[in-house]
Amino acid sequence: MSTYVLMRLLESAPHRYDRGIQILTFGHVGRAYDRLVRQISPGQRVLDIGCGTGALTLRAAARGASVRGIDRDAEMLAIARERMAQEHLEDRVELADEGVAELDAEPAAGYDVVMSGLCFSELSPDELRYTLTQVRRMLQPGGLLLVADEVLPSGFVARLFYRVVRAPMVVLTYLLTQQTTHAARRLADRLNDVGLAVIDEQRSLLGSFTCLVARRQDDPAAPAAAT
Amino acid sequence: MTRLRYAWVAVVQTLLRVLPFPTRTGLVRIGNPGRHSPVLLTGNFTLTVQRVRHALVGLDAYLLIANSRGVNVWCAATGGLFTDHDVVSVLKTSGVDRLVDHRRVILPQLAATGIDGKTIRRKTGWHTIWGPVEARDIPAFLAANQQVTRAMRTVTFPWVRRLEMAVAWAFPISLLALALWPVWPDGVLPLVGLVWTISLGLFLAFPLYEQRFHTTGKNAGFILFDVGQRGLPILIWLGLLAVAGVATWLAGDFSWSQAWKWGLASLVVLLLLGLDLTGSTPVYKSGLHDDRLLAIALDEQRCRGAAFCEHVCPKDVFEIDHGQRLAVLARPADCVQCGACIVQCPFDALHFEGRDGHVVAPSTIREHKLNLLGSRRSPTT
Repeated sequence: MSTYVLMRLLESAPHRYDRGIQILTFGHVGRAYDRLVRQISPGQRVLDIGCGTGALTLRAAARGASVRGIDRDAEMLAIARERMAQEHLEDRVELADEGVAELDAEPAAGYDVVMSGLCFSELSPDELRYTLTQVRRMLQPGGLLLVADEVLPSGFVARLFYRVVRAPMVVLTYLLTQQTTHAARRLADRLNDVGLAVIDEQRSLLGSFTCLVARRQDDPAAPAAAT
Repeated sequence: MTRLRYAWVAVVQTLLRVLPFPTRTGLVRIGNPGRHSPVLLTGNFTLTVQRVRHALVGLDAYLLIANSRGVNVWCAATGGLFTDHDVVSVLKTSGVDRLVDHRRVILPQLAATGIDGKTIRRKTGWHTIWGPVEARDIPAFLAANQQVTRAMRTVTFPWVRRLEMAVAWAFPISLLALALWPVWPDGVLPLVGLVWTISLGLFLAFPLYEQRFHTTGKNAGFILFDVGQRGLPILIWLGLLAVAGVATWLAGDFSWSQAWKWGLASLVVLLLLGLDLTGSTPVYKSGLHDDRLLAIALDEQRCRGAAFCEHVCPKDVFEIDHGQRLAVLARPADCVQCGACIVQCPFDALHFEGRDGHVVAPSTIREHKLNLLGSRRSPTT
C-alpha cells in the first residue's frame, strides 16, 4: 500500500511536470520562455536541449524556426509529440530521445540558436561542462545560446533568503509532482570558459531565476586568419 | 573511508532506505588505478555506492557513479529511472575514456532490466559486462577473469536481507505512529512495538509462506491484500471500526477521542499489512507491475543460444542447450517477470505473452520498461 501510493504519484509525474514547475517559479517560466524566443527569427535552425514537454520547442517553431528538440525522458517526449500535433507544427519540429552526452553526434556549426529551459541545472558538473563545450561547437559563429534556468543568487544574504523562501515551495512541488530542480552555479563563468559571452541577462525571483542570451565568440585559438 | 563512517551510513540508510538518497555522480578512483584497471559502474544510491567502495578496498579500479536518481539499481532500472542515457552520460562526460586503454565497463547485473548493452555499445563504443548481483562478490569476480558464477548472478533473500527490509519498513511507519504522541502518549510505544513485531514477523517468516507468491493470479505479489487495487480490506476495516464504535456506544463508553486514537492506530497496522512485501526483493514478483501476470515466451526460430538471458536472469530460469544452440526455459515457475532477458536478447527471441495470447514486444519493454501500475500507455501488439 505504502509503495503503491508512492509509485502512483511517481508514474503520473510527467503529466504534472509543467504545473509543478510553474508553481516552483511562481509562473515565471512561461513568461521567460516567451521573452527568450523573441531572439529567434523565421527560418533559423534551432536546437532545444532538454525540451521536456516542448515548452520552448513549440514556441520557437511557432515563430517559424526549424527546431530539433532532444530529451532523455520518453514520457515527456510523448506529451511534447501530442502538443506538436495539436498545434500543427510537425513540419518544423523534430523530437529525439537523446541525452546531452549524445550532442557530439550533432553537426558542427549546425545551428543558429541553441536553447535550454530548466535543463542545465539538472546536469552534473561533468555533464554541464561537456554540454557547454558541445554548444560552442554546434553554434554558428555569432550564434546564440538562450537559457532560462534556476541559478544560485550571488551574495550571502540573498542566498540565505532564497533557501528559506524556497524550502516550502520545494516540499509543495515534490508532493504534487515528485519533481524538483537544483540551482546551477556560476553559469555565466562557465559559459565564458568555453567561449560563450553573455550579452543579456535578466534575473528575477530574488536573483534565483535567470533568463540569459549568450553569443558564440570567435575561437581564440583560430582567429580571423582561418577565414 | 573509515569503518565508523561506513557503519554510520549503513545504519542511517538502512532505516530510511525506502527513500531515495542520491550521492554525487561521476568518476571515483579506487586505490591506484592504471590504464588497464577495470572500470565498474553503479547507480548513485548512497548505500550502494558505499557498499561497492567497501567491497573494492585493496583493489585498483575506476568506479563510475551514474545517475539513478538516488534509488537502488534494481528498482531504478526496472522502474525506468536508471536508463541507457545515464550510463552513456557518465561514460562520455566523466573523462574515463582518457584514463584507460580498454573499453569494457562492468555493470551490476540487476541493472539489466533497464540498461541495454547493445545501445551502450552503439552510442559509446564501450562493451558492457554484467558483474555479480552483490557488491561483495566483485573481488572474486575480478580475480576470476571477470566471470560470474551461477551463485553470483542468482538473487537470494537471506535472513540478513530480510531483517534489513523489515527495519526499512518498520522505521518510517514507526515515525508515522509517533505523530500520535500529542493525542495519545500512552498508546505510541505499544503501537510502535506492534509495528516492529509485525514487520519483523512478516519478513523473517518469509520462507514459511513464500510458496504463496508462485501463484499467477491478480493477488500475486502481495502478502495479504492489495489495498490500492481493491477496496475490500478498507471496507472491512471501516466495518470493524463501526462495530467497535457501536458496541462502545451501547455500553455507554463511546468517546470521539477514543475513536480517533483507535482509528489511526489500526490504520497504521493496515498500511503495514498491505505493503508490497514481495517487491522488497528481486526474488519474488512485485505486486506493483501488471506484467507479473504474463509469461515469458521463447521464439525458438530466433534463438541462437547466445546465453544473454542466462547471464542476466536473477532467478536462474534459463539453461543453454549448447548442442542445439538454444536457450531452454528450465525453471519457468521461478520467473519474476522482471524482463531483463527480453531487454538483453540481441535476437528479440523472448517476449511476454498473456493468457489470452496477446504479446508484449521486446521494443515495448525496452522503451517503456515494466508496466508498473499500468503506467505503460503504449499499445501492445
